[in-house]
Amino acid sequence: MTKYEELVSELAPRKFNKIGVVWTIGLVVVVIIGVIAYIDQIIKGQIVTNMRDYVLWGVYISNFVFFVAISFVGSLTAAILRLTNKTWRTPLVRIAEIIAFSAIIMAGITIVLDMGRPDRLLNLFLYARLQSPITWDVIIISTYIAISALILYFPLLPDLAILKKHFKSNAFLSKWYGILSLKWSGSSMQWALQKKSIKTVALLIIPVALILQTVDAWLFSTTYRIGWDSTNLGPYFIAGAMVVGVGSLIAVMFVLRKAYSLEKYITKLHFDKLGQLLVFTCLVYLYFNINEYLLPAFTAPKAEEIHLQELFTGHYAPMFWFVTIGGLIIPILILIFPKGRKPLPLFIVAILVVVTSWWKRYLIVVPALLHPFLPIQGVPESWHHYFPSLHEWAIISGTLAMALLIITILIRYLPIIPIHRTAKEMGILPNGKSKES
Amino acid sequence: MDDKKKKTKISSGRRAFLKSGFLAGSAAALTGIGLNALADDDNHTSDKVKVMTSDGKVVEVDSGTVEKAHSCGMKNPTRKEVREGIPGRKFVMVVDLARCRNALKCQESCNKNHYITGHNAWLKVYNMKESQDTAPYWMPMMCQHCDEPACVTVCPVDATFKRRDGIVLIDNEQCIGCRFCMAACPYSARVFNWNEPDQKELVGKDIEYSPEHAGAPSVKGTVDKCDFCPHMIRMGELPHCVSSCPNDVFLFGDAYEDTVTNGSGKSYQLSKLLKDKSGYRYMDGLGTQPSVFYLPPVDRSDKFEDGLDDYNEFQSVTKP
Amino acid sequence: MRAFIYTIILGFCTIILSPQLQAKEKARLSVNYNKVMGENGFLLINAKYKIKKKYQPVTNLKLNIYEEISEDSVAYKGQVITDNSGSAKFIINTETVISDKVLVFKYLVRIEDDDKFKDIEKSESFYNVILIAEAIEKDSVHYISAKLTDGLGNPLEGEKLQVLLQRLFAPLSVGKSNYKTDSDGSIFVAIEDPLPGIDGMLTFEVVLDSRNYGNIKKIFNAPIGKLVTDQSTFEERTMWSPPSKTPLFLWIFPNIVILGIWIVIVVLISNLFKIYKSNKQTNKL
Repeated sequence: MTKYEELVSELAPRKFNKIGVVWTIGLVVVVIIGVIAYIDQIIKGQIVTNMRDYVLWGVYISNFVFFVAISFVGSLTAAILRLTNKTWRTPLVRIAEIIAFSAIIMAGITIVLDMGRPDRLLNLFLYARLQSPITWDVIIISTYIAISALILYFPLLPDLAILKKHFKSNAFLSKWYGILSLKWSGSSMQWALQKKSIKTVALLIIPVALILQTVDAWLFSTTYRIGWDSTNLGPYFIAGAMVVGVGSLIAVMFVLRKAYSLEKYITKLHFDKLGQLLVFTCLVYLYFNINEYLLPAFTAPKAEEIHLQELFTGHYAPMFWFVTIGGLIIPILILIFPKGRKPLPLFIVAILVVVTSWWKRYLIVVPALLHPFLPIQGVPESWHHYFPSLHEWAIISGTLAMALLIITILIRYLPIIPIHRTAKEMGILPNGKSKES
Repeated sequence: MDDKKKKTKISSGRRAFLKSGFLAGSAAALTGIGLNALADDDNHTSDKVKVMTSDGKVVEVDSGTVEKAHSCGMKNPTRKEVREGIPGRKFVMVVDLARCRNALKCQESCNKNHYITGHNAWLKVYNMKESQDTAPYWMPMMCQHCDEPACVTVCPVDATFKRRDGIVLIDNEQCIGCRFCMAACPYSARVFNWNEPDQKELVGKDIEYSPEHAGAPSVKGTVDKCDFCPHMIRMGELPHCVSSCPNDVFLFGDAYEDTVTNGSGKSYQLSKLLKDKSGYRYMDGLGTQPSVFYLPPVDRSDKFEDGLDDYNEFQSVTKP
Repeated sequence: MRAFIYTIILGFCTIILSPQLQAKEKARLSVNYNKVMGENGFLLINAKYKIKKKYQPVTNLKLNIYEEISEDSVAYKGQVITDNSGSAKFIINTETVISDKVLVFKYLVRIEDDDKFKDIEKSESFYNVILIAEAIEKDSVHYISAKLTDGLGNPLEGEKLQVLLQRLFAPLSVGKSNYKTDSDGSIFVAIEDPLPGIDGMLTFEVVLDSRNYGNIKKIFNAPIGKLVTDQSTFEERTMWSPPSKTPLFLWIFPNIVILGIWIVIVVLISNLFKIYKSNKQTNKL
């Protein structure tokens, strides 16, 4: 077997082993539970959540913001890092694109779960008001889904053609890889088109991703609410998206590396580089956090002071410090040192970063709603607090499971590491050359 | 034997916007007068109903001449009329904080006439105390019908809208329940129907929904708020809170007419009232331009503490 | 002795046989003469009764109206029935009744032979008066001038007149709460602040409310109002307008950006088709 053939058989998608099957079935079960809970919500109304007139947005929205933030990883690795022209990122690009694609699709689905009248979804298009930040969100999310799909698909074409040949013994798989590869034959014209398209879409995805994070932030900062009405929020969300994007990439990468024994391709170097990237993004995010939380304490108007007190010493203090220390300080401290950027410790830090990022979005959405300008009066005592109900936990678990399920299914059938590109970089392409310019 | 004095003619300038309104108005006014003549011709009394002609004037006609399709006995206005509002008017409300003693009759009447059965009333009387050393007072708060409404700006589906007459309404048949308007409103004026509203009084009644009579019926998964009672205005009547207040706390009227009227039927010149009593708007600095003016709680008619008996921090809608 | 027993029996029967009499409620009538100059005057009658310590209107009550021609003769004038709010109106055509001699009119309103209510009578007497009013401009100041005379044209001095401006819900007082007529029977009220009105048209009411004359109104229009202009932003393109009035900068720039991006996306998708179509003979990768 040539080196090339060895490469192909190592990187080609393989059947799931027992763990993979159990994992998939587990995710499906969680998704089904979520769907059942959602159907119950449709029937009974959103009274099954713990949202009420004051905490009018809860975990559905914070979960949505989380998904939007993660989707940034696609543009970060596939586009922004592409500007650096380094080849070390090659093994990571497809994973990042898959994560991003899954995340943005789930973002679109998750926001519908929060609607009081999902049966009137079409109104968003029939009666759309361009003045509304939600309309901007609908437009930019749809756009990002299209672009993420394209940035995943174009680089896939040569690999799909390779897989068609590799699976020629399996009629079904071979046929479908062939169809999806769009009869890719490697002609110079096809290469030219593909290269140009990737360059275009990589360039396009950067502003679109930045607009996406910004518009997401503007859902909050276009209101008057203390804690939301901040000029800092746009860049703050961009920085936060970078953090959770890199964190989730590291986490998924670690798992896949172990599961598919890809140590040859995803090396300690990659972890080291991503660890450095994570430290960098955490430092940037720390800077924005200081601007967002520490600085207002300097000359806080009364309302701001109440909000900050709630976070620093009040009801939300445990969560706030867990998120800030566990999600920012500790990762920075660990990852500054090369020892901390070894695969296993980095993986643990990445998990910590992702989990704290989820709770961070909760902290952005909920506390601000509990101190409106006018005192909360005339409503039941339970309306002065919020913690997600069982229905909400079931539904958001369902969305998270669905996101992982999409990633799992894509990983099952697509090569995790770009085959053709890796072969090219290793110089082991068959026939020594290709029509690729 | 009238002394005939010379009447000087003052020519009225032509204003393009009202020109068509005037022509329509004269036609309507004549119709109105015609209807009036009809009504007054004979000596038997019949039930009279006030109706508003298309140019915003109120006349009284026999109720038999008006088609009933609405819970108040009025025919529902068209979609265009609902979205544009009553022409030639700008509705404002004045709340005299010096007179409020938390009697809560306003809230009762609003809850009853809008069939409010949730846990959050649309009109709430707040127990306000700005800071530790300032005096407490009772402050009725409802939708301020802002002239630069944050809620309307953020609605993605045009389900809440600002009319020419200043009133901000909700179309519960277009709302998608995203609750962005609730997030945007700084006055906490909006409520949400988290489940199917339990409006027993409406069971069996065949009522045609109109945004002009909010809550009849309320719709699951959509928002609700004070509507300034356009269904009452079209009948020449004051909103329910205004007429039910035992202490004349509320005044309501047309700012273009520079007149507001309280529940007892006494009218005041709006500009003079605001000037004499130093009226202000709540959280004016936010820039929403509310249509509700507050008169400061000076020279109170009642003691604040007298209202504490009726104060329930955790309830604003009484359940049967 | 017999007479005595008969009286007792008669009294007894009366008491037994007239439970209705005892059960009949006592209604309260209020009768007021109202007139708007230029129209027929009318008696505004209101009937209510006390039940459980609260007053309720008497609905559907037949009332007989009589006019007192002389001290001992009354003429039956007609019948009215009260409506749902306990009110009834009886129109009096005083124009045709004016004569030089009879200046006082006296009307009687009676409940007679009603099943539920006792017979009672309420009278209302009034003198016929003439009230004229108009708006006048003198030295570029507007005034409301009104004059009150009796049916024969003699001025009535010392009567309180209110000057009101008709507004949407209830009339607005102009000037003081009331003005007393002078020896000429006139009042002259200055309008200090400009009063707004649709098309500059104002409708004034000069009202005399007295026990002798009833409630007399003179309603007239005067085009002396300040013009009302529509100050709403309804026609403008604002951030809170409906989609048809989106601000131009939102129409132009975001749409250019979105269109630009989607044109590129469409081109990219078309590239996919091109790749599909350009399947050349060579299978080299």
